[in-house]
Amino acid sequence: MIDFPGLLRALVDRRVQFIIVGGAAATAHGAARLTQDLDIVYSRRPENLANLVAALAHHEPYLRGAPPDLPFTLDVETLQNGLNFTLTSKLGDIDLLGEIVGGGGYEQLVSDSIEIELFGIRCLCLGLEKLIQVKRAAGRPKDFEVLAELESILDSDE
Amino acid sequence: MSNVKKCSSQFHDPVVSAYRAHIDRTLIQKNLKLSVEERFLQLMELQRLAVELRDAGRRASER
Repeated sequence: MIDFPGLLRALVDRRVQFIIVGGAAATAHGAARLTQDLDIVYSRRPENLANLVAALAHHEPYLRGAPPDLPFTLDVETLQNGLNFTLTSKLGDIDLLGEIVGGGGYEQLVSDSIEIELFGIRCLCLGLEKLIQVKRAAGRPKDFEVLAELESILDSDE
Repeated sequence: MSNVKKCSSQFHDPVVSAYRAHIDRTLIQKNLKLSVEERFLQLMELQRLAVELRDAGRRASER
């Protein structure tokens, strides 16, 4: 289970630049399906990498699905050497995405994002039209149903 | 921030359109009446329920 308030508070308190994408973004827009992790696109700027590491440091971030004895440490160097990380943490599963298919990175996506407020925390969430666009670009069969739902929401919003 | 309003016709895809025929719009309408925070609280409730169900299933299969 994800502690959304805890995870978002940890990120915002450390001034991490991020955008909520994926299933949680779909939830923010009104989708009814269950998602089991928090997907965020994070800025790859060096100071943001340090902030992201600091935000998660006390919550035992670890590679999801990896053997428990792997020598993994989430630090700036690890983030610099990789791009997308699927992690577990004490606050729930979180995917750190440097880029997403069809959308690019934080700097490309920020203009297609909206500010949302939840649990007293203000953060960015990918806008509905862009969310549909990137889910289409991902081209995964599992996304067809959520795409159908998101498009219905888009029409409902008109 | 983007505030250009669009509609789904720009994304037309026959596969997704086929899925749309089976979407429960009553759930969407219900969700759209909630605040963003209420939608997340509902999601967390759903996650709690999923964990309970998974555990119950596991316990049942171990009996």
